[in-house]
Amino acid sequence: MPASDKRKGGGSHQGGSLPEQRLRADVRGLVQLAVREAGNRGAGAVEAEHLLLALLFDRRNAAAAALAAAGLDYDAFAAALQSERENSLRSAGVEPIPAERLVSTGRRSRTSFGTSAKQALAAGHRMSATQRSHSMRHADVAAGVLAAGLGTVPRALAYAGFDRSRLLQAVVSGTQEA
Amino acid sequence: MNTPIPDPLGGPADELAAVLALRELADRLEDAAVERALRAGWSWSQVAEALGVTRQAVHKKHLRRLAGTDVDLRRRNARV
Repeated sequence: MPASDKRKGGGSHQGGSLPEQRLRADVRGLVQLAVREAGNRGAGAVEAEHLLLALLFDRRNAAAAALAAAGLDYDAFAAALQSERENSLRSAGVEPIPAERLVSTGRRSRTSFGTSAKQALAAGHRMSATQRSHSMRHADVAAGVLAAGLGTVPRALAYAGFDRSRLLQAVVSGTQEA
Repeated sequence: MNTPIPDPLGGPADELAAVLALRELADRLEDAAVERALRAGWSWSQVAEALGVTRQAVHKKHLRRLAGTDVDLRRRNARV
């Protein structure tokens, strides 16, 4: 195992299972969709951005509707993520590599959850504790993802010109009764 | 006292994000390059030598995902 995989506090390479018993059935479906998003994008682990992509992909939920009303839909966020990675690489003097050169057979190892996804779900869980049902809704997951001030999601949103705190407010206020 | 949250863009945030992006890119590039080399007839040992790691290390990382694909098994299992 490379030294980078052993770093304390975990990271995208330090996998782990989620406390699924905390998740409502429909949120479990959201997490499964996030696993597929991560796999389709060649990611080594499910991160917060994959949770948000999954949530935006399934437009039926109130949180996705609230975010779409604020201008953030699946395509907009996917484009923002790509822009963030390209800008990050360029800041190190590296030009992005064409996608066709990165095509490979996906890894079959058990899906791991990166720290950002775990932290987003933990934040969502804390928010759900204030609900009567005490069970995590899509809106809580969205709020958990949007609560992070640093990392890929806030960078992608900032590059795309979104105000993260306004999106968070839109999710919270737009899903009060959901 | 709460530490103020730095701006997610610019300065150290860009440098740290570059580390993340480069790691991710290196992982994806390795997956693609190893697969292309094996499809081009390279052996596991040759791939390992080019990467500067042991054959066992390359096997452990990539064999499972490539099992069941159309990558040539004979070459794939060749030692030289």
